[in-house]
Amino acid sequence: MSNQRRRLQAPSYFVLASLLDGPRHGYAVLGQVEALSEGRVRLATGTLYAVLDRLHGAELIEIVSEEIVNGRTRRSYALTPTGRETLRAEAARLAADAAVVTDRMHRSATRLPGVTFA
Amino acid sequence: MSDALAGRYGLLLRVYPARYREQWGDELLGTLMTRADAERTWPPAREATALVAAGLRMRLRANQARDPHVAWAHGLRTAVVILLSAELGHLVVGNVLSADTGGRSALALLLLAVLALVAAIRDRRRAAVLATLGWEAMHVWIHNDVSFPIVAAAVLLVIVSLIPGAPRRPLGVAWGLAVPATTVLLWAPSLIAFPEPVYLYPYQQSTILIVAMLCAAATPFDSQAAFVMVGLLTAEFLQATVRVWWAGDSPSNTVYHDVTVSWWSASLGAVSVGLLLVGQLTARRQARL
Repeated sequence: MSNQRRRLQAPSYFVLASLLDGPRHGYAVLGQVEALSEGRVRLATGTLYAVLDRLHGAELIEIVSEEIVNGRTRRSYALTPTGRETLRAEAARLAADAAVVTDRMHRSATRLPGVTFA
Repeated sequence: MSDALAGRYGLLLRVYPARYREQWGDELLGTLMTRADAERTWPPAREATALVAAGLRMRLRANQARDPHVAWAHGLRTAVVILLSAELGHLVVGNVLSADTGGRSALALLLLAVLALVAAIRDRRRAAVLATLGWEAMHVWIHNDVSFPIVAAAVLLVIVSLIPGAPRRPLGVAWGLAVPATTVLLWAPSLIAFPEPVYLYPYQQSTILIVAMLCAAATPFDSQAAFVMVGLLTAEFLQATVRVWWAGDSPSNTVYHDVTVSWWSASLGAVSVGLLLVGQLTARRQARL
């Protein structure tokens, strides 16, 4: 199964999304995921590195720099072209799935007087 | 930063496989410490639970297939190795219990059996199919009956060869231990009671059911377990459903066959179909990134 066709779990989706603006290290990814999801996705550190391991293994992210901070390794991660394409495909799939509901609700709302749909 | 906290996180990280710790351990510890309050000496419950859960998942899924096709191919091929190991054990134990070495033809049968098993373990698919078919032909010629586990192994090997996109994955040499393991498991009452004969059928059926339940329990962790069990049940299903015999003592005479569906064989078929569905759904879920 090619990576572009592989479905993403929510943590992987948000981790990839957090790298859209540029490379980040693990701690910054945690903060960005929480900010992007408006607090709905709060990854534990162990979960984040399990996700990074999977995404790195699938070549959706790459390590772009490595430095030593307080005596410990700190790496920065960036999206690969495959990762960017996989994220785009997943976002399109989620939008299409959402449209199935929102379009129908919008149509039924316009047929019922007094009901508005935001 | 607390050394005590770092030490306790270090202990928790030992749950992870060594390969993972080597690649990510130092950085993971660094991020955990950056995230921690300065005065903290014990890991928060949420972080500790997540570390242990992720570490255990990592260990359980070390060999997990990341593609449903791969899960099918490797699961069925593992079933083939188990079936051929059990039949090779049967061959050896049968000769020992009957104190019959069988001469050159039995030696040729043994060589074909070993060749088929080695080819299946090394994932040499074409060689495994040919050797398994040769083993079955030799078995029919010598014993004047059909061995359904070997037939099932040949059918499964052909199916594995036809699955697209499944890379070759040789198993470790330790899989040779499957021969003594399956022999002891399936023949324990006979080996214990030797030289007294023992009626093994109920014992062997119960053993198969227990292994089936273990595989079903393992499926949520690794979809390959379902396909292993389907492979093993295929042999049992053929044995319970199909009967082939011939006039006189040679299959070159008129061959008769009969298909009988009993409650047992119908149950085996239903369980196999159920396991295939569960295995496929689990494989698809596990393929998600």
